[in-house]
Amino acid sequence: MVEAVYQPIKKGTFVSTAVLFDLDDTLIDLQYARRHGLRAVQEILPELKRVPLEELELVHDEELKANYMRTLDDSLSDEEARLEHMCAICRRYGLETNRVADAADAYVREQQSNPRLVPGVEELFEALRGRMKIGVVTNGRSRYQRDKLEFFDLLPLEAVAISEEVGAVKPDPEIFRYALAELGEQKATMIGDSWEHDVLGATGSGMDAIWLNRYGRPCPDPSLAVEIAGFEPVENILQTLKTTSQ
Amino acid sequence: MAVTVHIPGPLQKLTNNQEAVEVEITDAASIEDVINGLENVHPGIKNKLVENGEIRGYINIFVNEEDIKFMKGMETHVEEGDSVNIVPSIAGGV
Repeated sequence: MVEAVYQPIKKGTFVSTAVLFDLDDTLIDLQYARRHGLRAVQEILPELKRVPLEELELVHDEELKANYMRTLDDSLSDEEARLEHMCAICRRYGLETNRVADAADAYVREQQSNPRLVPGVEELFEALRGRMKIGVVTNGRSRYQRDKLEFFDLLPLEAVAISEEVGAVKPDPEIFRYALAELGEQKATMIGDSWEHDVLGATGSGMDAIWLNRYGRPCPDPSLAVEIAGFEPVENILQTLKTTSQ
Repeated sequence: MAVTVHIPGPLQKLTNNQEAVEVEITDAASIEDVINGLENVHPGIKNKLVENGEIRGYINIFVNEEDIKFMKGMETHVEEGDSVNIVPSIAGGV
């Protein structure tokens, strides 16, 4: 018999009646898709094969964040952002090439060909539905985020707070207040992968937070949030949320 | 005659976890016929691909790597042995 291996929990549990999730890289495994995209980039630009994939991911994420907010306020189109993003990665490694557009295309093609939920999300939602109110708080364009909710069968939800619709971007407390109002709750537990957007945003709004840390990053402040490494086994998350005692 | 339809991971629960499905077609078949054939064998999948008679905005369908948006959409012709790829536009995220 194989015993279940439980993820470490660094802090005690708390009682919740509602749970809010971040969407990208918390429910939807964009990192998995991005890795496929970056491998395709390395095929187009073999000079980048000398760069470990983990390092390329970090550089990619930094450049993504640099451009992401500009796409949200429409100062950069998605296509421009993708190209600029790829140019920035090439500049980082001193790569002068006329294959940037090809690399950007390959990245998008492979990234989009590998959609998946973070492991355990389906089981977790199945276990939570009917026991707790569930909502999503996400930064992004309305159409993209709603498309993802639909495609990945994450609907119906008791609350959907998307920054473009709400007019406030995490960690702004306004978007968390909006979600709580939709839930009809005074408090909820926020689960997300971004320390800045999800943990600081939620705790700054008076909510509890669970930090999803799938890649072993150092925790900035263990007193602020429960830390989990993933959603499997689901029983451990349920225990953390104390749904069994509701 | 048949075409091979490649199914993205999140929709494979509708195809008994199959990554690729053979769909029988007739002469002069279109993508619409392929989707209807898929629906006959795997109910529920059409609703994930089509809304109000059109391919959903976030779904891209490629026939032998050509995007049907730049062909004839639902009326795009398919032939024996064609490879049909369903790819969602999943974007964004920090």
